[in-house]
Amino acid sequence: MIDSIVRLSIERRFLMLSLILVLTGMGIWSYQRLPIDAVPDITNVQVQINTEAPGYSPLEAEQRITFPVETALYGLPQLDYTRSLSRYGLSQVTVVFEEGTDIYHARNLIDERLAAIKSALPSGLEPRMGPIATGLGEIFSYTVQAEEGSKQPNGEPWDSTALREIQDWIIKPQMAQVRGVVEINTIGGFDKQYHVTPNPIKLLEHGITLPDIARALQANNNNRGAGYIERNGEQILVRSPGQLQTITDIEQVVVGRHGSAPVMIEDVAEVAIGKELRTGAATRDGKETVLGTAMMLTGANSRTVARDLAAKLESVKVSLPEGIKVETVYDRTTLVDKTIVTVQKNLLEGALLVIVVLFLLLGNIRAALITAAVIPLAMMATITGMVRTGVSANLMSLGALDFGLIVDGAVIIVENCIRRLSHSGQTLALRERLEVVYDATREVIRPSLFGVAIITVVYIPIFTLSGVEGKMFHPMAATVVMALLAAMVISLTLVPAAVAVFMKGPIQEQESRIIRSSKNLYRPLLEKALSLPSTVVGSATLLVVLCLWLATTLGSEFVPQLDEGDIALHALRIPGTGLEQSIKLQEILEERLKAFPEVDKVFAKIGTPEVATDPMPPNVADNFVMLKPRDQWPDPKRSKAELVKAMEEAVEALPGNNYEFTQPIQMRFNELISGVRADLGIKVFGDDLDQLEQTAEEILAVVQRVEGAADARVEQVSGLPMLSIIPKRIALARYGLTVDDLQSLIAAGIGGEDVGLIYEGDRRFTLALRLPEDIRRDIDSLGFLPVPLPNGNYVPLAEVADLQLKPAPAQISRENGKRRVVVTANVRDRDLGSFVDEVERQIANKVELPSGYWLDYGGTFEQLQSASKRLALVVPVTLAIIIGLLVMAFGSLKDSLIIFTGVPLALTGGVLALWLRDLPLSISAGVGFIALSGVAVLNGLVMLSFIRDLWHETGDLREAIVEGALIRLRPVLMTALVASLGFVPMALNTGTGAEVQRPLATVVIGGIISSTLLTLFVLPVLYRWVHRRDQTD
Amino acid sequence: MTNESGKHTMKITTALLYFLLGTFLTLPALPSLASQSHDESGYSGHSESGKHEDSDHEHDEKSPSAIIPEPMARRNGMRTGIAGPGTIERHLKVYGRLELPPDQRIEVRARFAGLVKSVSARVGQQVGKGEVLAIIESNDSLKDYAIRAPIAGVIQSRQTSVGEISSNTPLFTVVDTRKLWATLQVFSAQRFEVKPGLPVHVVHNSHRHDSTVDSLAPADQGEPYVLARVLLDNPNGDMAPGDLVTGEIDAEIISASLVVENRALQKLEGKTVVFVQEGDQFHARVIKTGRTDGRHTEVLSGLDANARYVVENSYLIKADIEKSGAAHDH
Repeated sequence: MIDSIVRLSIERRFLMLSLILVLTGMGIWSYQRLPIDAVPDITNVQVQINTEAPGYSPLEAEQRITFPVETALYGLPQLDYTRSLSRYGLSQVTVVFEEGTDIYHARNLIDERLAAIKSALPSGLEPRMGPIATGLGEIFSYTVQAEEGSKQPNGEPWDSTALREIQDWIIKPQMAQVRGVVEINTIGGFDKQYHVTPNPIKLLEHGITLPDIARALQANNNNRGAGYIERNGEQILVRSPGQLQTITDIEQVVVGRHGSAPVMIEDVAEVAIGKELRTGAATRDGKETVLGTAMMLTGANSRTVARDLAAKLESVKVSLPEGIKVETVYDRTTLVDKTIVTVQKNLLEGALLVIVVLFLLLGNIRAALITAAVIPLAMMATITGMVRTGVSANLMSLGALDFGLIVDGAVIIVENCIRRLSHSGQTLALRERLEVVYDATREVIRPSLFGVAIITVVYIPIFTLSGVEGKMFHPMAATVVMALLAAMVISLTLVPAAVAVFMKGPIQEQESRIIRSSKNLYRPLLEKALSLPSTVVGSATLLVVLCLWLATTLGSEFVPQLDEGDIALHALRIPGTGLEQSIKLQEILEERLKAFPEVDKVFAKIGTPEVATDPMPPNVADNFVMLKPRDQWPDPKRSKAELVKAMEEAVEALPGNNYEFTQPIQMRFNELISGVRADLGIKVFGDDLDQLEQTAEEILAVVQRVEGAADARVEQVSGLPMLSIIPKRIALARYGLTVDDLQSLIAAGIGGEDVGLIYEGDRRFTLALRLPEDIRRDIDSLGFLPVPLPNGNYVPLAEVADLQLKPAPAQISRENGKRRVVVTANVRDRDLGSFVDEVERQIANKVELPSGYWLDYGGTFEQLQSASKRLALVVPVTLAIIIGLLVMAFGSLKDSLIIFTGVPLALTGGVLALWLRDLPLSISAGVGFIALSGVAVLNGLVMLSFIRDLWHETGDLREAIVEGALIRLRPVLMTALVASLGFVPMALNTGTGAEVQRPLATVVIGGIISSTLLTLFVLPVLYRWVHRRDQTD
Repeated sequence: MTNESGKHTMKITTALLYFLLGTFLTLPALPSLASQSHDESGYSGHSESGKHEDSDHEHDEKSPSAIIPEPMARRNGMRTGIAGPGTIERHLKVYGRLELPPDQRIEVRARFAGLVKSVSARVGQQVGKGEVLAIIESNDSLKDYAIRAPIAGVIQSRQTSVGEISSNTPLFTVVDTRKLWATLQVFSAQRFEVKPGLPVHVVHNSHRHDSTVDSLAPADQGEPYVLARVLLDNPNGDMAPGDLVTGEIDAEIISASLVVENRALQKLEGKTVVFVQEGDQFHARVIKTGRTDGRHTEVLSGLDANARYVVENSYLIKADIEKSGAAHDH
């Protein structure tokens, strides 16, 4: 079949070449549709269900909202698990579905279930699903600020309430229009509200209660339509406007009568624009601000969406009041562009290097160009494939592309063709030429196809990775495999066709000087090696062993962090810290960060934004530190790690904060994926929070004593100061009050009660009723708050309720419908498996679980175990496949195994290169080793197949080895050189994203050098040694 | 791509590597795969608890402390004060209404029934004591006699006119509002603390009037409170009977030998502490508190007099000491 394809390609060569146009056209078309982002999306398929419950404490939120919502979700198809969080004023249930679930379908299912439980929830509360966005969704942020000294139209300086109003009613509606945007999330400022704040004394005096005021306001704030009247042929509409519009309107509402005089709102209360009880705030450069964040729809192209958003923001500026500044603080395009520049630069330089090498070694510019043409064509095909399979272009997916590997197959074919063509000396007739090309192609097509197939096969283990690693590395493997397959097809079809068409005229034996001198150098060395077989094999083995040891001394690293160019940090304060206190701390922190000359902007989100995509308590702030372009740094060479370290030191000096440094996208991923991020997580499930906490503490004590445990701690669940106003039932009864009367008073008075809306054109603002701030804040005299009695008298609050200030649960976490507390620990200097075993044993012995409580062991160790198991199966299978392929190619297990020895030899170079560059082992390096194994096998394949053919022809083993090795020197050197040089730019680049590709490139370069040297010397020696007995036959 | 997930990613890499190598060389390297994979860089920000404690050994082995340099403390709005003697004033807040003392509202009647011959007093008129209000001709003696104001005050109402025959009905009501009673409702929980003679500050329309508790009497219709009567001067007449007033009763005024401001108090591990400044160091001192009035608290033990303690933003030091426990759990 292969033969006929090659034959067809050569016969129909022009048709084949015209396919280039088709391929190019498809490539360009696809490129415009290719989603481009900086990093792969590692978010799982999840839907967040947020229910805002103003005033609800964590316990109430859990009991009244979280529980019914969770229960409603039981048995959803493809449900993986649910987890939930109940905090002050918020219940969030996160539903995680199995991989591959259609998110829209999942949301539909959830919607159905939620509709069914609406009646079971407290009235007025509505569960809402979070935006359809992934961890890459937050692509664009801007701040709304007022210029120094500018004033509102009414002469007041701009305050954060006014800024918020501009964001909500001018900017957000326009930004939300941008295609691909699913949500504009606002944090910071105060939602404008009209507040009616009654004076309790005046209420008593006039015999008016809070419910009276609420009723009065609700009954006096409506417009009604009243149909129409026809008169003299005209239709006249009738309406009765009664909506309250101004503060004066509100003040004039009558709430009751004192004798015959009407009592108006203004007699008993103040009416003013007030501040909501907000759950979040935003700061920028040490000042409070209003921050808008655009969330991108899942699957949209971040680059185009961010670009459109930036353009939209420009046009929004025109519509803003004077003195208002809107500034972009985060724009994903910057990062994506920078990443693309890095990738492009690497790929371009790699491609150029490959062309130069090809030209130098082939000594024929046409041949070099034909070979090099495989690069863009394979890229076009790859891009098309990526769009088809939904792989986005990013650092990871494009990071492992090596043009050297891609052209390997073509190099071998082209090399053989020109060797054969040049052998024939003079200009050949067309038919003859085609025949020579066909033969030459056929001769090497098998090893080269096998080689490519093997390189492809070694990527299989990567596909078996699951979870986050899978998400990160699948695209990489997929892209490489697609590129290799494309290159393989191109080598089969277009390359022979192109050779047939373009390699006309006399082709001289233009063996370049480099090759000639290499051969001159190679022959004696090879002869020498053949005469000292044991030394060669022995030293090779020694080298392998040495490098194995060296590998264990290399540090190991996580996935090298994709440098997003910017810094993010969590600033953590102790639970219970108030929002205003947090803002104060934040201002100082930002001042300190801004003092770094490298820093361009600092902004932060404190607490929970309007749409609770990330429900943080007010004691946590997400800081974003945007850096200036490097050339504006005082020392452009300063590494980011150094800068981060300096920042850490600087902010460590600030009292009251704890920090976790990370990066913007990474931070978002963490928030979404969440789960247990330590090596071992012991989840305690049960009902009673105190019992849970106590058991968790016991477990912690056990875990801490187990050898190897590090950073063991219990998830923080308590510590929120809470003022409990506990009704005294008997006292209440004596005064003729019910518990509800009391609670309504407290809820309305302290929390506030929404009693309607005030419309200003389109804008609508809440009309809220609550006690004046000075009374709300004064906990000490809250006990004196008069509670009105039905008879018009009053009783102080302390008389009918107990006031207790004590810590309460700050949040309640649940998983799969049960409360849980997690004890986490990392493991150091010990094998994880045995550590987990010992912990389980010790806990079983020492911790007594009350009935109804159970444990679940989780954490990364689980994934590690399952990954190890999977790899334990997949890797041998992969190896078997490779050997199978080799055996297919050679029909000899012995030879296949000889070729196989190239792999450990290749790995030695990779390890040495890492060691020389002082790079740790990482998964990127691992992928490099995988690629390397493929290349090493390919090298050996090319070499051995030729030697064997020669041997079978001549019958002289030694001669066949020397001759074969010499003839194959050029393709071996070429494939090796192009493969390694193709990675050189990647290994040396320092741009954004280079750190991910660097280890991979380093490993491949080092490995290929060693593998080539060893292929050239050890392989022939081994081959002769293995076959020394066969020779006599 | 989290650090931790990266870590196990890395372990898998290692696993993979060992696998490749191991299988190739038929070396069973698998069991060791998970063991050596931790490095030291992953745990930077977390576990730095106790960092501040170290510097504190010679002074106090146990007390948690924080080091905050002076400029930083100032920048954070921290202010200190000196602990010393002070007064604790505990107030009770009660509400009540203004009333006229019974002896200041007098209904003037005609002693002998007769014909009202003239009326000289108008409603609202200020009258002095003994001032003639009306002249009545007695039915019995047919002599005129004068009705005089029994007290100085204002004519609140007049129920008579010239030519009427006065009978038993009152002719005038004279009230004297220069002094008023505030009858404050003292509920059961507060009753122990209120005694006659205690100073009271009565707030009426945001004006403050100082007086003392005059007497305590149970409410007249069995309501569950006692009425504390407070006599108020009303020279300007801005207060009127029936007005609602707030009374702050000084339940206790004690001079204590050592008091601290309430803002300085924080809870640390369930104990009440104040933070004492010594140079750049702030030490938590567990104190035993005595009486408190909402602004100051008496310190019974645990704090030296003249210690410089943090008054404003003391929360910051608590936050700094406990911050190592602050984490971001989702």
